[in-house]
Amino acid sequence: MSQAVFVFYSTESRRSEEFVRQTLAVCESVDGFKFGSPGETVDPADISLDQNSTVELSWQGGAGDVSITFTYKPRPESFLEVFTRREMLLPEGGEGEYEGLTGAVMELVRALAIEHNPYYVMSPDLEKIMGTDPADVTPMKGEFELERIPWFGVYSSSLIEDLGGREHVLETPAWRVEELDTGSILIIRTRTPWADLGRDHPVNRHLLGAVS
Amino acid sequence: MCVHRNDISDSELRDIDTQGALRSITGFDRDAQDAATDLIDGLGARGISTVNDADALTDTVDGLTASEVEDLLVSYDSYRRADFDGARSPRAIQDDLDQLADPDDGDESVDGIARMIRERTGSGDAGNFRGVDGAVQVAAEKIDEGVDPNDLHLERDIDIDKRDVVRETGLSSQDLFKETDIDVDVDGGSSTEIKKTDFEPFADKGFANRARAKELGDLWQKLNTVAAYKDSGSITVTVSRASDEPFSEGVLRELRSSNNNIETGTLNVEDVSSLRNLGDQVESEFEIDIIFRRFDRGE
Repeated sequence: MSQAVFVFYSTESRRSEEFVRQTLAVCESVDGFKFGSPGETVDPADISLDQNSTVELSWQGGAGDVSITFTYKPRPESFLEVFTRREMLLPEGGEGEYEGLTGAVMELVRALAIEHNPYYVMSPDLEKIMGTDPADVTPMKGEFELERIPWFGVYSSSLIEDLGGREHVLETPAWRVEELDTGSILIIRTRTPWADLGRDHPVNRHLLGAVS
Repeated sequence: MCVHRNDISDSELRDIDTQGALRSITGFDRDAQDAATDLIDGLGARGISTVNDADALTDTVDGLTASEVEDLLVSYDSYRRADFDGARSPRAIQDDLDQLADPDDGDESVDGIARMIRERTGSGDAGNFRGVDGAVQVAAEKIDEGVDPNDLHLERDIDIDKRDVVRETGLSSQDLFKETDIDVDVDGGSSTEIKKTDFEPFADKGFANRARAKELGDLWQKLNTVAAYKDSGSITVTVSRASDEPFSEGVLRELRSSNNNIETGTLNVEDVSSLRNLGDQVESEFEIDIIFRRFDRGE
């Protein structure tokens, strides 16, 4: 069972009790999830979290679970990670808004991005598809330069400038482009997760220029 | 990416049913039409025959709908483009599906083909289709080896009573799933789990290591669950690494960590450094053989 992950980056450490409590409050606010594994009841007040600690969320609408891992670190490491099973992210129907677990996971990630206003959020394809290296979308070390646009991304103001400015980014020909209240821009390349990550995809060409 | 345009020669055109393909494509929805024309553009005559044969599956496979065939074609196209390590061509996959759909000229199709296509296509996620590639290859090999097609099951859903298993073994509830599926199952015989992954992180990054460690935790739970269900025989796991090759340090660090909620139950994680070690610990609890089979690129 392969994993899907949404990774949150910041330029500074986020370690604080308040950060944890804010995150748990966001998790509680998204319809359909409850804390703990299926059949288990967990009071968020009882959750204490150290480095790399994980909170489990179970989906009330059927099979499905999500885990939130607190890592707190600044870029190039991450401060928060949202894991779910890859096969759980199955958009229903041919088009339209996400529903079910896929919709709830997306709402959770979006709400966390609004709450924490990260530098960057992305969901890399962890499978080894030829020609689409996850390192292209992952801050590895030092200065971060996007080599490819990930399937899912949230871009803060400094990244928006790197990608050609707010107006240009908002015109990206992606399935979903949304300016969040924080000023960051959320972009989902294709409705189907990781459907087309090629360099010649219109989203890639629009934001990163022509294929060399 | 190795996606090439493939022109069709005059001699090939004489041998293939281009009119049949045209009729099929005309009846497809827009996504399947795009996928079918891409397949033909990329594979030439083999693309045309693949489209024709996929369309014909609704005549031979119980419960398979035209809409699911359209999803299959979309998956063929995205899978071909993804070009995973070890991935076979849509034509090779369709050859196996044709055999499983009509195993002995007139026999009923192998159980579970429609279920597998329903569950593993349609999302457009090419990664999800690797299980189909591996499962149909293994199932076709089983028939070639003499297994009765009536004893073969694809994507077989199973459930166990975890309390019974915990009571009768040294395992805990965290070592087991309540429900899972077996990719290829033979009644009274072997089971096969298709992974086609190498469990290696793309880089020594925390989330990448954690993802692979979670997958190993899932594999441990799945093998125990299938072993408890089968009780005897063998479980073959198809992977893209040698079974005795040590996992990377970062993955082992996450697997052995006690505070990341990776479900390892009673697995002695200190003794696990390779897939073989993990299989040995399943074998120590059940009368079952765990076999790791390596898929190599192009095989």
